[in-house]
Amino acid sequence: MNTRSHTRGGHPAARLALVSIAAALAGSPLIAAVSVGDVQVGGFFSQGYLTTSNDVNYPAETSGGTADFRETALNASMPIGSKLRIGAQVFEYRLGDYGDDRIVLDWASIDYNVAPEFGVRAGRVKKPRGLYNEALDLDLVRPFVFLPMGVYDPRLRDFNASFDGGMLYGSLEAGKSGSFDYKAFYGTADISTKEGSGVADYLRNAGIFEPTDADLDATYGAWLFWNTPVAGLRVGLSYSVLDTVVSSGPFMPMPVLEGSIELPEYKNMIFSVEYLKDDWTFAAEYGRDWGDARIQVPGIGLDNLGETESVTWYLSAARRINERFEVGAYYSYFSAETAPAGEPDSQGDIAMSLRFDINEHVLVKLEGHYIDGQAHVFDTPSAPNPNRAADESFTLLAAKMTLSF
Amino acid sequence: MKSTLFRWSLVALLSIASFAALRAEPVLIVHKGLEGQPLDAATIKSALLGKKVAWDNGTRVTIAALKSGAVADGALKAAVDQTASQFLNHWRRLAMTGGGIAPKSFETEAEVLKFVAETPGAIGFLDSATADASVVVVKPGS
Repeated sequence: MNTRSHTRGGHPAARLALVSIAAALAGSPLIAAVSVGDVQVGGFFSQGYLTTSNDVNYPAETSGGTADFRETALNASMPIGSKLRIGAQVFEYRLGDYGDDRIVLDWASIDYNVAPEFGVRAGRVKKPRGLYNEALDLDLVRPFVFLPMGVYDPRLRDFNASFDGGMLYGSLEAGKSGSFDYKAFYGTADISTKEGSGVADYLRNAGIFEPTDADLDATYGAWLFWNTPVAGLRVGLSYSVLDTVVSSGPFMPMPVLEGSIELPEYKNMIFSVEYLKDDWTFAAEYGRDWGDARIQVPGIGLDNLGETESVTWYLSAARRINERFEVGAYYSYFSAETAPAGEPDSQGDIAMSLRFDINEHVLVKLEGHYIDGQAHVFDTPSAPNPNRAADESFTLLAAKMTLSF
Repeated sequence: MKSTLFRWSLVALLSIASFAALRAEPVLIVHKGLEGQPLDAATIKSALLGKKVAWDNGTRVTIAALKSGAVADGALKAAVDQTASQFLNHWRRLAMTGGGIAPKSFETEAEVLKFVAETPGAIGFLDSATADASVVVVKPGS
């Protein structure tokens, strides 16, 4: 049973201001964003409700129901001359304990497009990863409340949402073979262990130490998509590395001692296929995360080097029925390849969604999941699952409304 | 007699309306300053999808989009092989992730025509019957 307050919010005044702006524009027959001179302003506010069965809490504390599920964003962009552009977006979210309604700078960049074949973007940049990572927070561009969580884990937003650095990008025509879109990036990211950090909970879930600090040396990678000669079909591969993740804190069984984990090179690879045909969107992705992990507790002489690996894939289909309705479904599978003996090592997720666009600014969604297995479920104070080892199946129901402009 | 005349009038009217709908032809229009610029299918597609942000004459690509309807669907299908809904989502993704500035969106073809005629570097789409000499017409997909 969820005994926590459902009305927490770190910045209610800011969120109220944004909701008021969006509500005022919701009745406007005009545009998908507001222009103030050359500056284009846009944003969204989403509020949802989650509930899970069988006392399972996933992806946050959801058993018994929770309205601690929302996102708010406000962005502004401006062209300078014909090839330069600057822009930024602030963002806040809450998913149970995660996010904590803390306002963060989601992206802020300067972009110079030399030519369609080559451009440069620098600053805080959204991380290209698979088909949909850059739009992970954008409820308004998809039929689903949750993208397949094996690939797009909302709890790991701190690792995957954006980075501080630079990116080269472009599109290369290949004649009758179609075209290729590419991105290559290098940078770093600030990994928070503050209250509400999903990454800290990911580390905490190992049950070894309570993370009080975390550091990432660098993140880099590449993303390449082939827009094939078949209209609507694109195929892609993305690869990225988290270079030297280090975190430490009190050793859980004996807090006077310190424990730590080091991931020298944590790698991610995603193979993607997307096919748009008339009102249909089909997508499939296969992802793998892997790397060495070194766990140390010097106070008891523990120094263990091992491997960590997970594999995930999904198949999805969605169809826009008409201007008002869109439906979608997916099957997603997650496998914890290096799960300890006795721990859940797989999780299947069947999801079905219905999206209703009240108008171009307001939409609502209903989504149901049947989840078999608990390999992707945490057992931490933010998502307590003491019976996780029983590996029972459960359901997740989600309802969400989004206001955008 | 009167009812027969009425029925035949109605049939005639419906036929004319159907014929007009069949004859609707979505076209792309660009600002007159772009006359003589390379505007082949690949260039148009690149511009409409945000990959090309500046024309060869140095003006910025500014897209004027009809929000919905058969003309929008027809033009976008021919030019970028997307429905109006898919095109909207594509630009929402770009605008809210730092990848571009969203098109100007309009309810009517008359508004699109006026904007493109008055804005250097602008590109839009509407029915061929609405286009006039104030813009340059490019057939999508050509």
